[in-house]
Amino acid sequence: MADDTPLLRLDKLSTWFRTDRGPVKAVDGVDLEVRAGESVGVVGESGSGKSVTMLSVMRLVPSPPAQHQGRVLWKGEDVFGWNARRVRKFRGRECAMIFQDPMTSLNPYLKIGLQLTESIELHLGLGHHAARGRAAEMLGRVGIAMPEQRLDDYPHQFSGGMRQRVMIAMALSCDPQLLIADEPTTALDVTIQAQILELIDAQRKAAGTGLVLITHSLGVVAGMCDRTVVMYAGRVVEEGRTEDVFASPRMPYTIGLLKSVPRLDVRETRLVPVPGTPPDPQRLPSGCPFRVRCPWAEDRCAAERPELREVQAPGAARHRIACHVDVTTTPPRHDPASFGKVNP
Amino acid sequence: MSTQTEARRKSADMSNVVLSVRDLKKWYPIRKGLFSRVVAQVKAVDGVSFDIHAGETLGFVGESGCGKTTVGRTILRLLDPVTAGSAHFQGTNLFDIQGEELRAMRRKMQIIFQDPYSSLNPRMTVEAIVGEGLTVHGLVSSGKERRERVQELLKKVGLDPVRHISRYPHEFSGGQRQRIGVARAIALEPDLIVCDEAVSALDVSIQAQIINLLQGLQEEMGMSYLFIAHGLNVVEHISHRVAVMYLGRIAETAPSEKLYSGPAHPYTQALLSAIPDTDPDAPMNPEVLEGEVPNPINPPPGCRFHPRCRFAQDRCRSNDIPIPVYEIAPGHSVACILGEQVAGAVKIGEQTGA
Repeated sequence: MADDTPLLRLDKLSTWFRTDRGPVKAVDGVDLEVRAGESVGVVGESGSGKSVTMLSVMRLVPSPPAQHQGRVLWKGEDVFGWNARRVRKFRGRECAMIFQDPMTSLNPYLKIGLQLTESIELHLGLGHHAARGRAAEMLGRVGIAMPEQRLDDYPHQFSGGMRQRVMIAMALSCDPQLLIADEPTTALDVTIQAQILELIDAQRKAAGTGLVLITHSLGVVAGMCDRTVVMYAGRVVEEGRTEDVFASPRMPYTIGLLKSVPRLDVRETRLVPVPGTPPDPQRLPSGCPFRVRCPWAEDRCAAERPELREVQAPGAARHRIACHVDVTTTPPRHDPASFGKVNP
Repeated sequence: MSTQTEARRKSADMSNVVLSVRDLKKWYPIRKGLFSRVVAQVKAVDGVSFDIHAGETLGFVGESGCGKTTVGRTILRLLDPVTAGSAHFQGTNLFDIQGEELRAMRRKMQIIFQDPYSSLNPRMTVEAIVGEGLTVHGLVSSGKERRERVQELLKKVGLDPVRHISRYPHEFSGGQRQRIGVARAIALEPDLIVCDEAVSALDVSIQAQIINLLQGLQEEMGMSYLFIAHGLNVVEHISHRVAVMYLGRIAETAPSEKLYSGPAHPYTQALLSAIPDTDPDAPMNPEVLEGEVPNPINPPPGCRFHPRCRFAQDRCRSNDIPIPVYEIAPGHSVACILGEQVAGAVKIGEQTGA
């Protein structure tokens, strides 16, 4: 494999769901790349399509009822062309996923040890005894005390943070090349969140695993990821190095998101929220889906859908936005406060 | 500090105490066996004291299970009976009153819940939800008057008074539903609103809208907020003062700008450093707290934070020596032995062991 082939590449990936009220496009032409050892943060609000994008990658959105368009390339191979056997090898062995809620992703009837060794035996071809050893080693690595004894415990005997540690141990047990973490800390308290993020980061760096971190928390991405992808209404609207996206965001939605978060080190009197509400995916506005909430919107934004385009970033790093306007030279046309009115 | 901030600070009248809570305790018994013998107590809230002034926002932060929600609900008499303590609201002890007197008092205290989906009755229209309190307390004499009052309230919270009034909760988005919850809470022009994780379930862009709405309403109507949330950045932003809770007790109370610039309790320091900053250059987790919050059924003796504390000494670990509470600056108090090292610290109380 040549060095410049990314581990994972999404090429205009779209995912529709059929509903009684007509098709809903949850993911709409997403382009994304993840290279070996790289960490990419995918941020967006609920319904922006960030989870469905990654579930599509894992072939966890069955088709039908969903329909896919575009390609998902794993080291250049088209994931949608694979048979069930190849997909099984991909899931768990090559690419592992951690979900938000550790209670519902562990089977409450089975001991932790059985759940851990299942994939180890399958993927690494180890015997039962060796697999148990490997499982205990993984539990120890994620900071669970007395790992051999804890293999015989059930999920309810672990706290929320500990269950998420078990999930991480399970995901990393077969040395995957890519780890997809979908809101891994959203259900956890902040001090536990800090522990889990540090653990993911350390384990990933030690093994050289790539990471896709899906989250709605801008702070988590800022601390963890090399690159940041911002999604809105199923599309990628901004993408670049994390420091560029946070220090000089170029897409009005990203600017709005960053201004919406109260900062501890700055005493702001009033936040500047993004006006309005996220659009109904069945009734997306024409052109740019963000234009109805955008202070910079102009006539062109309604007429023409903005495609991702390159913009100038420091050090010639790649920075792309889906926006017609150059916010660095154009002042906003509308006062954000003036669109305080909400329309259902 | 901007002039707007100063105006906001002034809007809180620090000489006028609206609510004064002393040594509040709420324990839940655990019963077992044939005769439902009490075998243990969950000490959800275990000796909490604070004051809220007119027009002030007092924030309560802490991790899940620290008792912050129980504090809010106990004061509103939504969790009876209280185990011990007093809560004087405009001079009346809320735990002494019953029946008609309590109902009259409830007009002055309202609550906004976390979940805008389950806290609105799906079978009632917006008019019925927002106007229910007006009817119950006899504040409107006719249906027409009620409709007009509700329309005014909807306008205040940024909803459409004509189109939205006869709709049902399911027709609204999460942010709009929370606006309905706010309209219901302000309908009776209360003096105190308990905001129980009122913005926690919302997306960040919507969260900022609701925070601004709550701040604007406070400036306009002058009520006090007891703002309960686990997101320290949100609490710090909206509150004049913040109380940090840990395992049923207040660890530190401070003016919100002080909390960030000079946290005195080791737990507050750890909590602050655990919050991911949106600045990518900021160091990530310089101080990760180890372990988890202990079980409130069997809290650690002495200072409840000592098993996770970097500074813990022998005297922190014993029930024999009470934990001193120091005032280290005006309005800034800390329940920790480290408080005595701060110049000018005055001991104002103590927390006894479990």
